Amino acid sequence: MSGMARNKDVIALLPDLRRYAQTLTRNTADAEDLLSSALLRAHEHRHTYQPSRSLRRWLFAIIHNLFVSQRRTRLAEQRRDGALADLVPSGAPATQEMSALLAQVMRRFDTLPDNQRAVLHLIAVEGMSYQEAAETLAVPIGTIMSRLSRARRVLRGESPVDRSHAELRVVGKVHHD
Amino acid sequence: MTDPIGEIDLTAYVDGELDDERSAQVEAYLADNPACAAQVMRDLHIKRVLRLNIRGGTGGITTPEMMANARRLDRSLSGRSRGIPSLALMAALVVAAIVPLSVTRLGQDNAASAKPSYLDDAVRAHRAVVVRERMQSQPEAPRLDAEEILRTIRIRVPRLPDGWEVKDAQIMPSAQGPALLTSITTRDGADLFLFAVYASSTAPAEPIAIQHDGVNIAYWQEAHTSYAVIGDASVGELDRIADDLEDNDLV
Repeated sequence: MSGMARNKDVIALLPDLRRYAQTLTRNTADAEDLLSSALLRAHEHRHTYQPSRSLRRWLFAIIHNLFVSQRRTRLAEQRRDGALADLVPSGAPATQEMSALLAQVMRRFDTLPDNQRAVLHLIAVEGMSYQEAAETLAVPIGTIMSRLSRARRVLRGESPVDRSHAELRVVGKVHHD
Repeated sequence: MTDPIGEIDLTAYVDGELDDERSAQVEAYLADNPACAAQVMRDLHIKRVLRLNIRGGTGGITTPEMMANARRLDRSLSGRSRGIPSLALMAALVVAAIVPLSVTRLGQDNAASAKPSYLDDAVRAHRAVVVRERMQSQPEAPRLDAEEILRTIRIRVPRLPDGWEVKDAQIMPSAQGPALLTSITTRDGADLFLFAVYASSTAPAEPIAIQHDGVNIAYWQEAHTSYAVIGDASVGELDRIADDLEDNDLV
């Protein structure tokens, strides 16, 4: 099927894109706004898309960059902080026996710094490799790893302060795509 | 002499980012350090809980404006994507990122050898629909909304050749999740059933036609979706029909 026009790829990606927007904004209405703006921006910048690269990661990166630049205005953040008590849970209702732990994990996830939440979402929810997450967020792979370590400490209920003396080094396979 | 195991190694282990050698070293270390092993299990658990919960969320509805924007972007990009790595390859890359690497490596080369398990679901769905069609009280649903199907169950419907008509389109259960079974009348008046489910399988990219469980069936996969065509036609004829469908654009 190579050489064929690929229609409706973006439509098929909408659930993934919305999920990422929801994780970043922690708010359904803001997520919808972010996704709408990202689709518009992607259209405006369509000539920067290199067809040899992953459409999914290109769109994830646009959402992320837009989120970061919007956050700089601080307006959205103030609104969010004001409404922290009304946070929409990020996911589906849990079964009863899971709900206590789940609620705790989700609450801690929602309180992570934006950049740690973004990394954990790409790795844990979207199943990206470290290399893919690094390309999507345009940061070195070591940054991905240290953000993940810090995020996991918080989710385990530990202090986010770095307690490890392990020096950061790149481990694992080198991913090419 | 091996490097000491640090927190970064444990994190990379949780995410399947270590090669076999380093994974083995981490596992040996964990076997001797129950507290660290418990922490790794906790991290794995949290990772899965996050994934289940966030992926399971409804996450709002797609507004018409959103669809229009997505459609426009698709149109503006599809003109730029001819002659480049196929969507199937992209899907494979995404799958490779999700599936543990060892599994992906094993699965790559012998993809065409095994009969995919979804053929049984296709045959069962076909039987149910044949029964439906004989019943007065079970109305047919001849309107095939390809966009809604893509949006809800992620299945891409191949564009049908001119003169083919959809008689009925039903969502059917399958082991891989909701599947689509479309009953079609070809231009020559023959009955044909197209089964599709959003899942990778051992089906090849080029269709194969065989006899399976008493029916003639052709099957293939494309863009992370597995397809099967069932009909009264001969195996050879079905193979040709499946080739045509596979060559057509996905709607």
